[in-house]
Amino acid sequence: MSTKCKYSHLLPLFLDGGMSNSEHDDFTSHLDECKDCSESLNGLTSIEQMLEQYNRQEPLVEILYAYQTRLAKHFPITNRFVAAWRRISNSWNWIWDYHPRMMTIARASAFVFIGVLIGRFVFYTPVNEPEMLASNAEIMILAPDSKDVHLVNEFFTQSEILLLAIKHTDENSSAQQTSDLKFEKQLAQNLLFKSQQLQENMIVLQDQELKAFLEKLELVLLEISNTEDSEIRYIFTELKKIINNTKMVNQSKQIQKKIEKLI
Amino acid sequence: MADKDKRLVKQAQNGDRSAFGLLVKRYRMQVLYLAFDIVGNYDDAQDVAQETFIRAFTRLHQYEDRAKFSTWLYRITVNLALDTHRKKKRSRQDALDTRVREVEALSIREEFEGAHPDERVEQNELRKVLEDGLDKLTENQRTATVLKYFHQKSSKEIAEIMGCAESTVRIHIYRALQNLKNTINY
Repeated sequence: MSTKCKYSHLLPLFLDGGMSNSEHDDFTSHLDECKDCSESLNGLTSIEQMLEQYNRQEPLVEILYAYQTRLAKHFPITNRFVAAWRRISNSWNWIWDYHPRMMTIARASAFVFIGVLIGRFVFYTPVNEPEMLASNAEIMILAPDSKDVHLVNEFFTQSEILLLAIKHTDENSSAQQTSDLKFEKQLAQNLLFKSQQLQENMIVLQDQELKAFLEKLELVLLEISNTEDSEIRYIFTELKKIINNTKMVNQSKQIQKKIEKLI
Repeated sequence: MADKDKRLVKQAQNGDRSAFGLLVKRYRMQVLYLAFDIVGNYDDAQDVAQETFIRAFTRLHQYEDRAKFSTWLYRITVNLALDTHRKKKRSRQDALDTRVREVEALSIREEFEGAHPDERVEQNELRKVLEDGLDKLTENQRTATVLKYFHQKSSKEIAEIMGCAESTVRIHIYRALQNLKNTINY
């Protein structure tokens, strides 16, 4: 080392950052005291800075082109996707070479799977298979076709008419003819039949609000259906109270709106 | 990076030339620059770089993944570049001509890139001063310096590339800096 200091042999290690923390601290303290070492270090650090600023000349374009062409002749640089595909193919071949039985099983399974898929689409036709008409709707109607949705809609429309008729029943009024009341009784019987028909046709209404409403409605319908003609006016006035208290007309309207969204 | 290299090397060792092609693509410029930094001109550097890849491919079975692939490749490059530097004594005029052409091309490029003229002169002067200084170093000092400052290799990696101890590398670099300081008279 060119400096006269006995610790100057540590300069290469210090420059390289190869000292432990304590060694580094000790040598830094030494540098504060030793002029030889600190001058030497300053000079070398300046050269280091120059080297770090060095920008190499870039090759001429023609040299670069010639170089890359020469390399490409020896080592064709393929597209990475092509190379990836080749690697997959190679690994496939490897499996084939070393595990022929496994490959036979894999091929047979693939063959059967494809056969089943083709069979499913070519030969199988769904017979009355319930179809999800509106999976995201609050009311889910599992029905074979859209006719049933209309049936449900019609059912609730007629129910609302009946409920309104009951709501407007006046015990003392003569405006409401007995024939009207009889017609409404018939409508109730009809609706009761339709309600059963809907259930027989496997129309499932998966909505708690709707289920509760239907239960109440069926009770009303049963009550009207089983009442003698002479007592209809009386039973209507009784049911009117229940309908008003339970706000069945409003519920019916809300349910109809839901169903309309499905159509 | 190193894991990907190992995977590609393994595929290349199994005869997949395109996997080696990807390694070439990844390291072609680094190898060319390292060769240039040792031999001093791009005409020889590209010969060295091409030879490096051919040798690496033919001796790929000798590579053990204890060291990084790039380290192994750098080692081949350094050895070939030093051989070229020693054996192939190109005429000074040829080298000078190449250098002049390269400097001219660089000037044109920098003009297009909008570098300030003063900055260009400064960069060219710095480059010339350093290259003259590096030319006067011993092979080992030059190699160690180039690897450390131009290729950002650690002393440990340089030791692996040059096949010597880490402490020896530190001494080479220390001496190189001292010699450069004396040459440049900084």
